Amino acid sequence: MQWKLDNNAPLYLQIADKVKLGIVSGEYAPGKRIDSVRDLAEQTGVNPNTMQRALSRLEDEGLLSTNRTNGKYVTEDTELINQIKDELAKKYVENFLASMKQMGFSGNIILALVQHEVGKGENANVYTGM
Amino acid sequence: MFILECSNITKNYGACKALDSVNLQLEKGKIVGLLGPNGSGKTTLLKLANGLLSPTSGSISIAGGSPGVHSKKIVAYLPERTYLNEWMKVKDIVAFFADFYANFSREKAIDMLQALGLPQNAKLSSLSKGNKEKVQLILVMAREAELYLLDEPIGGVDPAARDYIINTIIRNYSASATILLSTHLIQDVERIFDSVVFLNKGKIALQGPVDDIREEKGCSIDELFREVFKC
Amino acid sequence: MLGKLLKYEIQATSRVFLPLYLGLLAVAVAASFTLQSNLDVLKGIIMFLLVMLYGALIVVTVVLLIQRFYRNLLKDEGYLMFTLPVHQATLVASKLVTACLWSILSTIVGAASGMIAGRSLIDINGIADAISQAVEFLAENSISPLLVLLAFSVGAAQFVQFVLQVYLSLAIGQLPSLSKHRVLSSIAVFIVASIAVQIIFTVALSGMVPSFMEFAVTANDGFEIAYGLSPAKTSQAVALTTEMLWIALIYNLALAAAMFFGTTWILKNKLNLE
Repeated sequence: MQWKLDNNAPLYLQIADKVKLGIVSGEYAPGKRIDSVRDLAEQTGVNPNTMQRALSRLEDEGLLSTNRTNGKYVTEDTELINQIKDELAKKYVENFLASMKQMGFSGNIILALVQHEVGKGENANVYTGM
Repeated sequence: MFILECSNITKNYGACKALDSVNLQLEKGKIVGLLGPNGSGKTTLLKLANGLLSPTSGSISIAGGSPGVHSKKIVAYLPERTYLNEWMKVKDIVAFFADFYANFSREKAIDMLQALGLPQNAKLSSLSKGNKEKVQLILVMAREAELYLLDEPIGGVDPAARDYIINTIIRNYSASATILLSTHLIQDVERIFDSVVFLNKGKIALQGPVDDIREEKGCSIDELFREVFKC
Repeated sequence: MLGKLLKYEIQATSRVFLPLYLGLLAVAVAASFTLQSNLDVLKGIIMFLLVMLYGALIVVTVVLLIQRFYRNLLKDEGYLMFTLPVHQATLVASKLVTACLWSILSTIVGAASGMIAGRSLIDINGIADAISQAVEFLAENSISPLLVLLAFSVGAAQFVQFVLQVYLSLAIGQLPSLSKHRVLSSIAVFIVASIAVQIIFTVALSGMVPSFMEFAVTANDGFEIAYGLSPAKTSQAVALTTEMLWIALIYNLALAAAMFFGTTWILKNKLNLE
């Protein structure tokens, strides 16, 4: 799992975001155990303490829980997961709109562009799952 | 108790001040980057920590005691130079380390040698410089030490081996061990650091946890280094 | 730890000495045959080889003694040796012990080669006679075996002191202030030390001057010098010699100890690996 991490910003935050994304997208299924801190650190090529910090952050948010002997588990609280997913979606849209507006596009053109992309055959499957 | 504590360390070489009132405390379970341009005092600091040099003033302690036979048991040092002799084979130097260090793991050493394709029967004198450095690094990493002092561990090896080495460092991470790593290749390794220490002309210019620095300065450690040590 | 160091020291050095010893012994055996023959050309070649190997034996023993200390402790290998969990004193001791070991072995091998090569020229009876005559002489002049032992001890002590003087010179030569000219500094220190050692020894013996004078004055009798000393003079000579040997022994041992500590101190506090 070679995440693209940026050295110019705190790594633990980026990792937390990537794992969060994995959880909301279902890659890390609810209730399933994730790899150990050590394994994840090795896979990503980061310091285990950094990885621990990132996962602790998600634990604070309730997305992960630590079973002392067995490792870390994704929460089974699907309601929470969906809530986070919605928050993320909202943030993505906000960022997208901000970027588009910066280029000078009006709201209508933005909608048209988005509709066009969604309409394209390959993308249809990806978005109907909402 | 800190695994390494330098209190007002000054080291003079005649008129030249290699280290000037350096204060440093390293906790267990951390991977710390010792960064600085050539001649900044990095190697001197590492040598002081393993007893190869005595400070001109100030004190240094390893796990609470001064450098000596006791500290050498728990400190694993990788110097920048090759210290391998001419007559031994790879398996001989492995046996040598196993003989002198109780915390040396022969299995680990052999695993790593195989992973890097280094034949055990090869004569040390026949190895290329890069391979000699790999052997030295393996010998150090195969020790279950409490303090690892690595002086430019990835400088002379190819990128693939570099990745393997960085991975090995992560994999061997232990909450009871500390690594102090000095390097020029910051970009490659900055992700494995907990914190960094910038050394400039014998003085500590900056030190702190890496993610805090990234947040504060808004740039990578590599970027910051270039800025601080601009020529 | 000393045992372990010795093991590796011997492994490292026997690679040079064992082949040399075997070679020398082999040539000695060859010489023992050719000397009896009339093959002059072959005789000459083998003798030449023998002499060369003898020279090599001496040179190699001395050079290796110096080189092992210098290369293994003061050059790149020092990074390995001085980070091992052993005292600096143990490292110096390991070098000293192996130096003595090989010196003794080289002497034995040299002597053995000589005897093997010249066995056709040796008259066993003649040697037996010479030995018994020597033993008689010692007994007649009340020179106890202990005195002989003392003499050998002084020889050994001088050798140990010599080796440690070499080590100390090398250690001083690597000091930061001198390290720009390591080799020259070491040689200079060694020479100065040798001179100093001699001068101090003479001073140490100066206490014995009156006794020497007394002996010399009264022995100035041509008859005694030509036909051997009287029992009284002989025992006086023996007493003087004994006293001198004791002084020499204590002096060399004290000097060796001082040089050992000096070397160890420098390696502990002023080590200057490049």
